[in-house]
Amino acid sequence: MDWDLKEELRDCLVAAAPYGGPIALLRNPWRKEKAASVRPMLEIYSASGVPLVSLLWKSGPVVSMGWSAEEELLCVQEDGAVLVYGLHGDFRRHFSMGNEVLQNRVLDARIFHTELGSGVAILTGAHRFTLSANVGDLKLRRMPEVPGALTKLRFVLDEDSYLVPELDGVRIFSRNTHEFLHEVPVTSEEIFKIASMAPGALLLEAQKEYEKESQKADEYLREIQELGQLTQAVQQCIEAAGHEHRPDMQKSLLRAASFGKCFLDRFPPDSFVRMCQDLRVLNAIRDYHIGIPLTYSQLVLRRLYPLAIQICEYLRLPEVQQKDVSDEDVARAINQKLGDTPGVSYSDIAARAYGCGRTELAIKLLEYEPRSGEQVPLLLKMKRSKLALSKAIESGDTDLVFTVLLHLKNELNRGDFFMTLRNQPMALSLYRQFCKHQELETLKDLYNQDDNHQELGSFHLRASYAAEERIEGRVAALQIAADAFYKAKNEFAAKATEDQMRLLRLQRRLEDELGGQFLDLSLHDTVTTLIVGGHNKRAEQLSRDFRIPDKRLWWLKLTALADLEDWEELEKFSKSKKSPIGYLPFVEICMKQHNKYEAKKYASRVGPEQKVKALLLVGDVAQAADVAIEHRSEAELSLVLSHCTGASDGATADKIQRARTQAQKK
Amino acid sequence: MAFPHRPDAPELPDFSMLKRLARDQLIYLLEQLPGKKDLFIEPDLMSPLDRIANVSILKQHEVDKLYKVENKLVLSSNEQLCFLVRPRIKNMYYIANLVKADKLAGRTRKYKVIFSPQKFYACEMVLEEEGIYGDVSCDEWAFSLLPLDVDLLSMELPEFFRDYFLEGDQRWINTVTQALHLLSTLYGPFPNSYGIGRCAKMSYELWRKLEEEEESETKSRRPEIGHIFLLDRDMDFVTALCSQVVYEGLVDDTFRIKCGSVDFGPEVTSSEKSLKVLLNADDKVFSEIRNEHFSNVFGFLSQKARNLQSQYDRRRGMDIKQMKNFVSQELKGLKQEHRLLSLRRCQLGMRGEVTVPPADAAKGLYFPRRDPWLLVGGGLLWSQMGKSTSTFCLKIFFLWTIKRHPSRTSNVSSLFVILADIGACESIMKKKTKQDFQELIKTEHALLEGFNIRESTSYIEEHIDRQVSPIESLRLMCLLSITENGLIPKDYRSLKTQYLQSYGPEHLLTFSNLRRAGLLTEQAPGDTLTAMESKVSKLVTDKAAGKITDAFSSLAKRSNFRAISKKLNLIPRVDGEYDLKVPRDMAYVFSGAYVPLSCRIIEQVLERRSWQGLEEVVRLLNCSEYSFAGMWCGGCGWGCHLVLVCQCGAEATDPTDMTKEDRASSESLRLILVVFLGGCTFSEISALRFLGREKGYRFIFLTTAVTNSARLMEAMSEVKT
Repeated sequence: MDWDLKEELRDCLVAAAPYGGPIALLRNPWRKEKAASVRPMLEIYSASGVPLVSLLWKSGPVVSMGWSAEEELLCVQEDGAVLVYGLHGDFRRHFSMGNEVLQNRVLDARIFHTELGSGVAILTGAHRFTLSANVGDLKLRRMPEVPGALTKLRFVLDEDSYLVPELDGVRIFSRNTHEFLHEVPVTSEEIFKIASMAPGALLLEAQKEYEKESQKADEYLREIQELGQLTQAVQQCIEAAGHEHRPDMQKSLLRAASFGKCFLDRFPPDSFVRMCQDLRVLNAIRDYHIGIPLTYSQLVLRRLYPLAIQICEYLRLPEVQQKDVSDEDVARAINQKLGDTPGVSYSDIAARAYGCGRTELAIKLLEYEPRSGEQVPLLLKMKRSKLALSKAIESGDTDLVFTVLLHLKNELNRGDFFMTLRNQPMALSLYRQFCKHQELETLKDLYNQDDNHQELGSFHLRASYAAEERIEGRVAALQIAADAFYKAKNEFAAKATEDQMRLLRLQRRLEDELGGQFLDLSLHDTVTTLIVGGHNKRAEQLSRDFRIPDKRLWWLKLTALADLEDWEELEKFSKSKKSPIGYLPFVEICMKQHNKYEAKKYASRVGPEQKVKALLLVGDVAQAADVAIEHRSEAELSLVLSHCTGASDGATADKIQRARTQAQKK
Repeated sequence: MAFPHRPDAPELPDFSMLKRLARDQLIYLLEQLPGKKDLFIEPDLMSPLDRIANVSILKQHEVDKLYKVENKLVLSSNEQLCFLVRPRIKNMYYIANLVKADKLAGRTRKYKVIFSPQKFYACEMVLEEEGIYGDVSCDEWAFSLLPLDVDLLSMELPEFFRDYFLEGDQRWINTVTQALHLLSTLYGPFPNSYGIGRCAKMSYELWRKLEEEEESETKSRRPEIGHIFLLDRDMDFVTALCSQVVYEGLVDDTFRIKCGSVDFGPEVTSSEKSLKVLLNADDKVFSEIRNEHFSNVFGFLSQKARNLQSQYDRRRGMDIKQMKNFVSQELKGLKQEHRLLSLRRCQLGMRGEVTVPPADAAKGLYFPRRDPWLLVGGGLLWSQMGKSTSTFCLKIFFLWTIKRHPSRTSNVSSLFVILADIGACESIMKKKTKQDFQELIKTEHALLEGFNIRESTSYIEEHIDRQVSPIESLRLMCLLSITENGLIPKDYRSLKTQYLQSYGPEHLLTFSNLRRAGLLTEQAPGDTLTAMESKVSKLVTDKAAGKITDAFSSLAKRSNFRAISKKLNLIPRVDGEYDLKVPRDMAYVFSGAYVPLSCRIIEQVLERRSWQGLEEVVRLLNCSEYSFAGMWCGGCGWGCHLVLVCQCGAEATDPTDMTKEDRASSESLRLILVVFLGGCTFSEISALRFLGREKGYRFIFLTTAVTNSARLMEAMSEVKT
């Protein structure tokens, strides 16, 4: 058992559901010594002790608990009120067992099962019984006397245990174990009885020997055949396999049956196949995690557990094969039965429905599937690709969207495919991204389809330097781009693209005529290269042609000439007209080239606003101080002062301090 | 300086488990290919891998040689090849080419492809189309959460930003969902959730669905992390676009912190070796200054230096044995101080007030075989120039002594740290002197506050004309656009023209990208604007409208920054000087000029525990449909209910038995997980750490990647390849 009980079972109210169902424990039941304020915990475990739910009991004292056939937990309170909970602790409803019970309180209560359903029997404080045969259809009956005693069973147990009556035996569970005690079925007994000579036992032996490649196999087989009991032997093995709980034993019995079958001409395969299916189901639910140790006999009687629906699917029970009921109703009915039980896959059921040819029902069923991702594969299979696309988008899983997209791409013609994309922006961006890497041509078609001229323009612009190498090809691509930009009413981009065409052609000509590298330079760099190469005339021509603003031209020339250290030309240039960028940049750039001499020339021409800065740059602190004092600018004064670091600056610093105090006096 | 947390601030969860998980899974995957194998690693995965499993662990699991997955083919002689890659199509072609070449040569080997963090169908399809799907086995290394620091988890997916916010590709959302699921399995449940943004909402909903499907036992656990906040990067581009002036952000802007560490290349260390420095909370000194405004670090360091001085004085009069002892005890601390002192110089250098020592002095210091007193002299010279302390030269001498007594040769690496930092200062200087850093900051502040727009525009124009930096220029243009609700048509055209002239015509595509992402737009003429707006909102309600995304990108992404700023009071009123030493609000991370919008939103929602009262802000953010607050019952054991409150203000109804006390206790939890979808900056992290200290919260950050303005701009740029 997987549970981790803190208390002894005897301190709890215990109820285990029939058919290997779950176990409910109500810890800390009401006993006199306990303070009433401590609320007990109601816990529900699977038969293997995996906790399903635990909740705080907030109602009154409980006398007894039990499970109905619908797997609802009935809790009988002291006052006769019965609270009904679902498997997962969800409160369903409550009902009362009448006034008499309320007055006399409940001494004891039992839940029992009849073919009508599950009933509640109550022994009241007045030692009278009140019962209801079916909790679903409440009719109270008062019984005059004690009914006949139950048959009892004797079994030696090691520790505190709790017994659960089952259809074909009794479940015994304690803190540590959970066992099933039942009468050994006849077939099992015959096969496994010591020294049994039953045909099944012989067949099992034969098969074992066969596996050992021993000739004894043949002897055993002959013995059965001579008795003419081979059919019976196979049947026995199949049946016994059904009663076994251990898969390895099941396997060897079934293997024996299959072995025996080979020697029979006409053995109907149904029983063998059905047993295999049944066992698969049984083993699946006996699994530790599901924990419903159902026996073969119980399986047949049990169909209400949610899992059973899936089992039904597997066993081809006619749940979705009722063709006369409307899809809507069937879907709703199935949903009502299953609710939102975790572990139930609606998509599986839908797949089943689709397998039965009921596509619409399958779609309806899929609506109940909470995970949109799960809906997609089936929808694709059913050729509902567009629906699949929206579901995939809903799931947020781009891989899923992509799968559907590729599906759609193959399924639809190009036009329809693009139209579908248009309505799904998320899918569209995803597909665009894909095309950018994989199918550039498709990308272009996509933009064409949408009349997205802006993006088309960008596309060809990119192609002009990424895809084309020859200058003619590049210019042609630019021309298409420019046309597209015009169509997109993006005049700016169109003009800029045309300028680029002109520049490209010109750069080509420059390379031919002057040599060197011009292609792919920006306009600015082209002009710079010309100046550095000494082609001043061409540079001027170019800047006129492309309307380079004065300021840029000045910055450009200044930088280029300083880089060349052509101080003569720079001076000539500075005097060509009044600088649109002032003369401080001239000072700065000369200082950068460590040419203080040239820098000083320009410092004198710097306008009054930047004079102090310029003088400080060339290191003339004293004069800077004079200018600052003249300007009476506090900011400039402190700037100069911060530059008074050398030994010779002491006098200047004093001068500034004096000027300051004077300014303050005024 | 590094204010301590309030005594009632909660402890952070231990995220090292995530590393262990990732490592174990990787080892398991490697062991799936028993025997010797060569490992091909995607360059982007190298740093994250390094934080999880070092080379010796890989060797232990029979990895023979390591190769980078890059364009050229490598000749490997091993019989088994393992590829550790991101799920990218180009990687698939790389692998396919390698396998096909083997086939041609008649060679059979075993190939295994490990996708991280997950595989995509498109990748497998390429393998199939290339005809090698049967030859390789594919696996997933679900490594999506790298703890970069005690409070910072990164998915290391920088491409998330471009893929989602530009291309509209949602494939990483699934990865985010899985990461959130893993977090809640290990550290959950998270009872209160808030979020804003399209992606945030989608991730949240998918994550919740996943949680409900998988009944994990977390539901019955007591929550530790009380709140989770999801935020899309496009809610606040402004903060990410600003220059960072908080220490850690500054280092990131200048040197690029990669996967929690900085690499100082040879040009910085002035030696052949490059040096890697880990930056995280383990480094005590670093953790004291990381969240500080850079102007503060000076005073702090002077104090530290004085302490060091007195420590050094103690050392005098020791014999060699005592000194060794002293070395072993103190050196660890000193090492950190070195870094501190040198990095301080970086900052001062940036402010343009202090001259950095000449490179020669630093290089001279490098050769300890010269007279040590010369070294000390060099250091003194430097300290004089830098108005600095004498501690630096003392340390140089100190280290030199250690080298003479090489019992602890490993400690000499400290020397490299110092030299690296000197180099670092120089390279900062080189970068920053092209245009004055202060002027840049001034312009940014003007843009944030919305004054002198003309002046700022011409500043940007000059920036472009002078070819200062393509990325910086773009950044300033975007900042202007977002703060001004788009550029006026004349500026829009002229700035773009200037930019194209400076940097080439392919940037027409960059501009098209920026426009689509809403980063750089043109102001729509005033009168048609409202009409457009109503058209868009109509489109929004009609979900079937196909062109919705296109419509969105161009029209709906009006940033409304000015209005939001006013509503949320993002620009603190200036009364006197903002004392950066004693920050009074989160604005300190931007010199007191601006409270980061993203952090303000988080602050406001946490204060209210809902979006109530923020309706107008949410509308201005174009997020009326994408803001949510959810409460999630963790205590009921079974069916978990989720209250999703769409549209702010709607009253939450609680269908579970969650008692008032339960709810109150979950709300009072002070650990808050903030998820940035599309990246967050160190400035935002610092601001929220500050908020946490003020309010007794602790923030945990989960980001798709740590980002900054340059990374954002690069993601949007088209470059010729």
